[in-house]
Amino acid sequence: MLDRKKLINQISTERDQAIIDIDDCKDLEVLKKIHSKYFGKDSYLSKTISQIKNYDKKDKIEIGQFSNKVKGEIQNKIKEKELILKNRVFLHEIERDIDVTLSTNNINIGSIHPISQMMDNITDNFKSFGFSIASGPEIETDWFCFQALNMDIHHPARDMQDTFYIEENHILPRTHTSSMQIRTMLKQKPPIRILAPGKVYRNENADSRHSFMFYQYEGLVIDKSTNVSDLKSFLTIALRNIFENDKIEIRFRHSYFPYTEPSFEVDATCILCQGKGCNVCSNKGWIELLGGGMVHPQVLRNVNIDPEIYQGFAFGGGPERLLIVKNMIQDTRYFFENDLRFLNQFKQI
Amino acid sequence: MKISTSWIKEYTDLPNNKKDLYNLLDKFAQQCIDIDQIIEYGEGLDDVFVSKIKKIINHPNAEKLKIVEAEIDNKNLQIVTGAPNIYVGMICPLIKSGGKLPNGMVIEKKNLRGIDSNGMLCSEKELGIGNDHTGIMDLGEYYSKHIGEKISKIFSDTIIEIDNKIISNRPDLFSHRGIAREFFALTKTKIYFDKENKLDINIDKDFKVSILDKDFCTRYLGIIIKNVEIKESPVWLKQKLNRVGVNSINNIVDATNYIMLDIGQPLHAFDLDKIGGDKSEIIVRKAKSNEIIETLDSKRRILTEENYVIANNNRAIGIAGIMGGKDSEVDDNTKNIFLESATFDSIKIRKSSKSVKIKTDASIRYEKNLSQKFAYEGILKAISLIKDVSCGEEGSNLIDIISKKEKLNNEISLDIKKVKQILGIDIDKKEILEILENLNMEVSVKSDILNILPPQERKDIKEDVDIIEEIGRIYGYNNIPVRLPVYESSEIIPNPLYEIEKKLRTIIAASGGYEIKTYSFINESLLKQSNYELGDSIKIINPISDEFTHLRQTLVPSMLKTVNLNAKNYDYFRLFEIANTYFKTKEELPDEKLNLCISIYSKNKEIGTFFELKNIIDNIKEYLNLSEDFNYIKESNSEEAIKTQSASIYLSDTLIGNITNVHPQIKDNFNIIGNLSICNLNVDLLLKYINKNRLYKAISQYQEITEDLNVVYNKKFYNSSQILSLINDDNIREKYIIDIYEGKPLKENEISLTVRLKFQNFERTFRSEEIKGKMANIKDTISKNNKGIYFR
Ligand SMILES: [Zn+2]
Repeated sequence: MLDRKKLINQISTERDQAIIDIDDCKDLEVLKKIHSKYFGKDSYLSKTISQIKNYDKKDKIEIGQFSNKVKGEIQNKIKEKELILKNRVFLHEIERDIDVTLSTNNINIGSIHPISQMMDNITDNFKSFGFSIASGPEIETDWFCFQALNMDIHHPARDMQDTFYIEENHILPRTHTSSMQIRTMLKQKPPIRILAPGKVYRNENADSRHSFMFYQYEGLVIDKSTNVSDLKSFLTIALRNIFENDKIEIRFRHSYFPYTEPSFEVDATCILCQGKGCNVCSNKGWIELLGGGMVHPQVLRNVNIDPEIYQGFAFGGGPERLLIVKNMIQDTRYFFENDLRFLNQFKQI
Repeated sequence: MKISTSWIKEYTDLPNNKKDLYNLLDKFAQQCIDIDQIIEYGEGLDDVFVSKIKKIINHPNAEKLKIVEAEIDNKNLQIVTGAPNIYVGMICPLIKSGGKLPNGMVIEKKNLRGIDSNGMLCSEKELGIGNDHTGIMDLGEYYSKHIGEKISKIFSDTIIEIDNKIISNRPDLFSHRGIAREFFALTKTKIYFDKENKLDINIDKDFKVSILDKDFCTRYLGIIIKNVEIKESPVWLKQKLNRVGVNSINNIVDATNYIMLDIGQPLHAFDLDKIGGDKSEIIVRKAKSNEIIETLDSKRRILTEENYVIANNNRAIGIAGIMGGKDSEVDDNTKNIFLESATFDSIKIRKSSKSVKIKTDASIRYEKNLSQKFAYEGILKAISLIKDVSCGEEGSNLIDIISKKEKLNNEISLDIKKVKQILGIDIDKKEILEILENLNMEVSVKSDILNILPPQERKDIKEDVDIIEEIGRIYGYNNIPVRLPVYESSEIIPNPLYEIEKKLRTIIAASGGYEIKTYSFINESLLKQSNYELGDSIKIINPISDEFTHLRQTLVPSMLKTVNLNAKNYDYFRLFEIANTYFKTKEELPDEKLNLCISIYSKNKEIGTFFELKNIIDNIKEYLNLSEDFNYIKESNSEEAIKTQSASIYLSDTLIGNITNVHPQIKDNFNIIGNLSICNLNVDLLLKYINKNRLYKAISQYQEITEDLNVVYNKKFYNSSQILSLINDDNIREKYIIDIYEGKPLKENEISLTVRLKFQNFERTFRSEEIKGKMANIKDTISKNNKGIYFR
């Protein structure tokens, strides 16, 4: 065992070496190593301090006080050095100048098709009104698509919907989602509130306003008391939400559909001119968006619902039409061409 | 169909002021019939006047010119003209010098070879109200009372055009008289009924008519008119037809067309002498199969038993209700005519018209179920008009055969309370009564119950809601307030397939995919191009074009086409589509399977589109929270596949779909250069693997230890998912591949995987010796049980 004096000398030497080490250090990693060299389990100072218990009381106090002082000195020195070194690193990072106008293209998000976006918008609205979303077959029987909707085989109204036919008799790609009215009413007891989105097909030559395949949404409400005023209210609120414009009003124009009575075309305030009249609305201030009406009592009878107890309304339209108005798209055919130069104008997920 | 508002004014009052008229038309479009367009007929005629030629002398210096004195404003105006058809007393249009023609041309005062000309006499073409340019328009004596008046006052008209389809349930609206009734209901002004036309014929001569199909022809009226003079129609008649877009033919044909446009009843005039004279017989019968007739449009028609004909004893002389025959047509030499006005069954006419592929103004009216009374009213009005314009006279009694009585409209009872119940608005009872009466309905009132008899031509009105519609639209829907409807809550029926489709779109779009929508129809050549067969694809009988003949069973061909389109503009992209495919079944309806097709294209061959695609599929597993991992079994079950670069995708034992790099031959078929990977998933099958619950899993609070394992294997005997499955320890929380290496110093077919392992312990932090032990254990177990796997 060393005597007190020699030990204190050794501790002083250790401190002097530490100060040299710290002064020479130019790197944070090295500084960490210096720290463990002087304060680690196997370091000289730790070992020395573990031996203090062997000295007498007076020496113990003196050695203890001295070694604590030295530890403090070294620690402070390391802290000082750490600050200097960190600042140097910070400065290095801070001093780098970048051109903030540059970009990378590493994050590529795709997009949902605009028709799907609009359809989601519509279904979300009606879901929030308490409607269920109904789906059904695209290939339908004549009965579901026409006859049950009050259109017999020779009904002149069939002229309005040029139909594709497939090999099997009386089976056809549905010309409208109104077939879902029938499927729903046969499956479910009133009260009924559904919205049915889906594809429909018509044998019409394609032009800027028509495609032989397109989308429709169909709404149906059957209840004991429900009327034209309710229909107008639901549609007004939904269209205001869809166009994000609470100034939109709608008006009903008398029309004819075999499965509703009364029947309407539904016009909304032209969102481009706010109803003042412009090119898009042919100076009418109104734009036709969908059709609707009160469900014809004969249709209710066809699905065994008593029209003396229940009545209801139905409406239907195309999301493409809403998109054309909302985004001023010139030609329906873009929707099915799938040119990314078109699709990436409507990015949304 | 075009409707002339000045013609309407013969039945009811319309505003003279343009602005008021347009406001009324706007109301009409909303409440009665939508108007496609409004056409101003005879615009720009403000400088043209009606004049009368008083005197004509030859031009002293020009052989072809004449000097005319024309009366206008009680004065005579000197005009030089070269027109060939002028005569003294002619009533014709005149424009004074300084005036403007509709085409904008200003008529200057001129000196023609020494004689002053102070204006111009005009042809109908110059006025924009006809096509004749051969001479000056001869207005005829009919207009002598208008001398000095602006011609615009006589000829200008506001024409509305409406789409026939939207009045397909309203046969009464295919006429000016019917539409006038609608205007009257809106304006509540006045309605001028036709005077009851009486016919007083005392001729002891009948004409034999036999109706062989009484269900087809329910009423037949006919009459001989003899000694007719065939000529041009008078200007007023020609003008009326011209305004609504009907060409003038001759006075007889024009008269029948006029009646059709006026009251909606089609009529036909046969040349009596061409059909066998007054001893002949008219037979209404079914056509014989392959019976041939040349129709008025000079086309040879081969008929079937779906058609009906008007015939004499020898042959068909017209297709009933559709078009007359060529060889019985009224021409310049016609002396006597047989005039027909009949009621035919609407459905049979519709079938007949469809089968012979002719639609005429007559057939579209007959298809709509015309009332028998129109046939009677029509022929009466036609007889007097024809006599008027052709100087003919009756040559027989009026034949009138009712072979089947028309079903009369039923009285409908309406509870006034129901009006509010359906429309949601209060309408005064007095107002309701007025609306119904203006629409020509007979109404009797018993407190709140109305008993209503619609006019016979309104066959569309069958029950009380039909009446409510009439009330609602004439009252107007503009005042319906918008409020939040209150309903009792009802069951919300879940639609999991719809929800999953929606989620898939979001997941894939977030992974860089663009959603596309292609047609459900396809053709054989596109399938062949993609190495698919037509097989038992469902066929469309009446396809829109050769391109779209069958319902598709795969989304791949349309995807390939879309990749080709976009590869022209982009070097790299990801596309996807979610759509149905259609399969024949033994049931009534085909099976519709919802498919998901994703493709990744890269022009740059270095980019591993296959593995990117797989990454997206694995993300689908995570984000849909499927209960199982996707298993990839190396096999080829899609037609576009490269066999060695494709896999079937399973969820436990269920085959869900496939993924592949597209075969170079198919890429070449579509002119696609670069890498292309495609996957197909059957979305319906995903449904049962969706785990709705996401229960929390505990996270250890102790430091996790990460170790990387380098394992080398021969790819002929193992694949990476097998290798991963061999690495097992109870404390591994997560393991995944961070690096793949092939090449030196490895041997051929050898692959080195670097697998990152994360060890967790819930009681304490692992000591490094423990982890070393675990790693050694993993290696030992694998090496012991599997040949040819070693560690680096
Ligand atoms: Zn506008």
